[in-house]
Amino acid sequence: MMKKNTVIVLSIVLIALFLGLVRYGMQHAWGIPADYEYERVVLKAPFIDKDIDFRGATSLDEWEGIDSKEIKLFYQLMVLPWPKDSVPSVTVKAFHNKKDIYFYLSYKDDTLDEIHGGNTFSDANAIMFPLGEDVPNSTLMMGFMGSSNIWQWKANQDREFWSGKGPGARVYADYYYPFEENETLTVMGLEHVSAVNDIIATGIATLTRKNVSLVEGRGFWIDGTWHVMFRRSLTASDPEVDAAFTPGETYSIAFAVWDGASGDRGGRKSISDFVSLEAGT
Amino acid sequence: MEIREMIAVIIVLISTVGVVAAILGAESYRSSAYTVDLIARAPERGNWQPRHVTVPVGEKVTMRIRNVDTVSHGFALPAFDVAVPEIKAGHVKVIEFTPDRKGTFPFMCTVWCSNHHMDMTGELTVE
Amino acid sequence: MMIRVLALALLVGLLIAPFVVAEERYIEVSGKTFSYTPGVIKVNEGDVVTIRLTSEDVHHGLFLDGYEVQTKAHPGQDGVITFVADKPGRFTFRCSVTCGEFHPYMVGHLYVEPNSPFNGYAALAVLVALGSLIVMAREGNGDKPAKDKLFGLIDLDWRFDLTSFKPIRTLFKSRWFPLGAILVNLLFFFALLLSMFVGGYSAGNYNVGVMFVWILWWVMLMFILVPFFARTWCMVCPFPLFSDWYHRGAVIEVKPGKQSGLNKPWPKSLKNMWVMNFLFLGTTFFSGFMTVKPLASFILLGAVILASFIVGLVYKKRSFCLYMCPVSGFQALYSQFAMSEIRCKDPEICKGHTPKTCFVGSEEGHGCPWLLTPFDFKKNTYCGMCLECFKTCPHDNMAFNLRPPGVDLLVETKREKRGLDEAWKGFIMLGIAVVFFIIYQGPYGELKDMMRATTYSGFLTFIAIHSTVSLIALPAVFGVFAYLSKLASGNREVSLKRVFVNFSYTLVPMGLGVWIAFSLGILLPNGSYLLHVISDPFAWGWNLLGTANFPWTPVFTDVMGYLQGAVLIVFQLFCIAFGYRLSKQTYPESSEARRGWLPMLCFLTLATLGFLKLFLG
Repeated sequence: MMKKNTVIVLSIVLIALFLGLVRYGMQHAWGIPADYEYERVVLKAPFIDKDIDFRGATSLDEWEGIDSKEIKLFYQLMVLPWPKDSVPSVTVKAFHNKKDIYFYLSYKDDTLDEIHGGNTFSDANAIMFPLGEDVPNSTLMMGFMGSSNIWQWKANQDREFWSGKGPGARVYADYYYPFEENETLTVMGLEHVSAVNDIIATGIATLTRKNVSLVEGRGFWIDGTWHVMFRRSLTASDPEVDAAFTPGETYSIAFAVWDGASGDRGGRKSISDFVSLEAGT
Repeated sequence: MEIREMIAVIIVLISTVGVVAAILGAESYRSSAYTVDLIARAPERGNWQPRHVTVPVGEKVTMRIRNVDTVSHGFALPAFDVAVPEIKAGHVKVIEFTPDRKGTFPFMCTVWCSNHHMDMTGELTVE
Repeated sequence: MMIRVLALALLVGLLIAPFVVAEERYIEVSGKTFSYTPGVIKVNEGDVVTIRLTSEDVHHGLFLDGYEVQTKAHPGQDGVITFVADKPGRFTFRCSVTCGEFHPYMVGHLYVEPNSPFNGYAALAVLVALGSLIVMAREGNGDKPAKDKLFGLIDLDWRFDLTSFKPIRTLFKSRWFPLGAILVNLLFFFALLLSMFVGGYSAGNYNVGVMFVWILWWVMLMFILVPFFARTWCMVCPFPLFSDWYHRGAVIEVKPGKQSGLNKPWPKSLKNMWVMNFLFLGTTFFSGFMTVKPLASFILLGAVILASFIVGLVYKKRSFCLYMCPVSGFQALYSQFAMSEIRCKDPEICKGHTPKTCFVGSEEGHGCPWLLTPFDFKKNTYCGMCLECFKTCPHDNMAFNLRPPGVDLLVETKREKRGLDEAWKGFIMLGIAVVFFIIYQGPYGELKDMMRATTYSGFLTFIAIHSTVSLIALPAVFGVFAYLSKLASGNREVSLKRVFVNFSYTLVPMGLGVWIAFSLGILLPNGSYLLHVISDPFAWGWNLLGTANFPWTPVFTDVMGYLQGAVLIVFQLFCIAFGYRLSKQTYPESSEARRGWLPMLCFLTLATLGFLKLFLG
């Protein structure tokens, strides 16, 4: 005959054991428990009252003293072929002077590659600005679920623009548009208006270079490191296709780097995760 | 206790404790054949586990990748040309490769699995 | 005359014939966890349809029932299917790539109009109702037949004792049966528990515990075990083994003396289905977790075993099974429809036999653990088919009979009364079917989000709506028709409560039919997961039977709607057959019974039409 108290105690013990088991199960519910910390990198673009003239060779010095952020870069693996090696990271700085916004990118690159065509590929990098609200994060990988404005700087374009020479009637064979594997576009005799291509993309295979590039850019390769600067007006002339920046707001942006020496072009590149850009007041 | 009762009790024990122990034991034996046991989860649910893997150089690595998540993941170790295009939720893939050089190499997920997919990376150290 | 009629028919036919020209249609469907936009697509029969699938977040797929074409999409990589919509009806398109926890419920509906399967079955339901009225009218004219025959064919008194086969009788009398089956079940059960525990929050559709419990076992209960074999699951259920072992002091032996534990009697006021009703309804609140997260199912089943043991420490015998187990509730009610029963063979033998060892026990076996009196109980409701009475009866006077379906619905005795608790169980089962179908098998992503508790307020809203439908809305609608029935009958003495309760037993065949149709909708699209999980039960990379890579393969989806419709019509026939008999039991005069039956016939036909709409269109 069992006493009432024994029943109560036994019940409590059994329930406690069961709850303990459940708790153990819940902690291991996704396998071995692991803490997840995720913080999106925040890049501040503070208001600094100055102008940088890209024509001057000392323009790089102007960037001293401005805070930088190191952004990790990853292999782009969604589309074959894979890059041989990834550029591990890019250091980024940004500021605005209420009129224009400036970006500075720098990363290690052992070789200066500024010839594009045939079997050699130019170094390049880009900043991507998704347009509109509710842009899904997967825009980063595949394809521009919403539209994005991309500023792509290319080393060969930089050389040709800043040396005052035009491209001539060269055909760029083997030129893959970024993010799209097999699409080839021949570019002939285009007048470079900038070292930076101002591109709008609204879906896969819709990369369209705008006729007018509002973005200025300049790159210097010094001792195995690329330093590249971008400038564009804060306001957008056409909000549908231009990224716009309002002081006080935060935007999602991302970066991509092509290392010509590794054969990077088109889908072969290193890309970053989204970064939060805070435009300072 | 009669024999009949003893047999019944033994069967109960086999069917409860025995079954659990046998299954866990069988799996423990089976997994000892794997050099690396990797769990794939989206970053917000724990990311790769373990995120840092160390293996000896020159020896064949048998890696079991278990997707304990509810979305598809992929696996790529570009340094050694190893890739699994997609491991569906609840599925398991076993891969083999032999690392021929020392160093630390990244591996990552190749299927867009979450908003933090870009963060789903780990490191393989070969020494 | 004939020619004029034919000409008129031709003219009418031409006027009605749809003037539809087959079009080419292009539809963009975007998939996001866990619904499609648009969730409902309508095309005309004969159209050439192209569907472009885009993904808004992760890897999704689209499989179209009936046409069995499919495609997949990653974010940024679309998929396309093209087909000719030559089959009319409503077809579900479902996600074919596990995309998150609610993946199995990520569906949309494609209507190929006109929806002739629905129209046809709806017309059939109405014809069945009208036909039954004709039969009813004819019956009134002739002599009362000596035997009551279901559909005029099956003698409701027919019984066939399975134990008339000596091997079966020997088996039933052995102490190793059903214990042996229970022990085998126990072994599988613990393996399933382990799998659910280890599975954690991983994909339920690739976990053997979740798949076996919610697809295999649930479907088997609805299709085979309950309709044919009453509470046979209770016969082989492993949950109460530990409690029985404790009570009896032995697993298989029969020890004399009082059972261990406090042995309290279950409170008299709760000796009905109310506790089970609320427990079952409460359990369904968490269905959105249990059917997709293995650990949630582990918690449920573990809690049931634990509760059965603790309740067994306090209360007598199988009190938990009788009055608390969630599975017990619907088996209790629906087994009244079952085609099996355990009864005594010859009551005269029982009359002369003392002491009644079937109730008090003997050296051969235990007194009825379900606290029934095997010598005279008349309904399946509370008989768990444990077979102790076969062992304890010295006269071999117990029988396991096969019988026609639905017999118990017409039985009422002093000790086995009909009641509001059983009526509400009927409402709850129907309400759950309606709510679950709309949420799980419907294209409404917001409802699914509510059910899986993406927000607390959404989850509470779901609970509120779910409970209101089952506990208030359905009974209220039914109550209106019960009132109309009493009004129509003209009878003043019969209480409304009695009318309500009696007719609520028509919800038993209706509910069983609805759940069998519902189960078809689970089994046919998702049954193939069973092949994967039996080979790799723990998602460890095993391949026991070589089927670990068996892909998800829906089967017979082109006839699924037709099968569901057929099931509903068959059970509508049962509802009518028993409903009319219940009417005659309720109203003493046959003219009253016939008038009082009409509103209920309306209700049953409307309900059948409602479920046809739910399942087919």
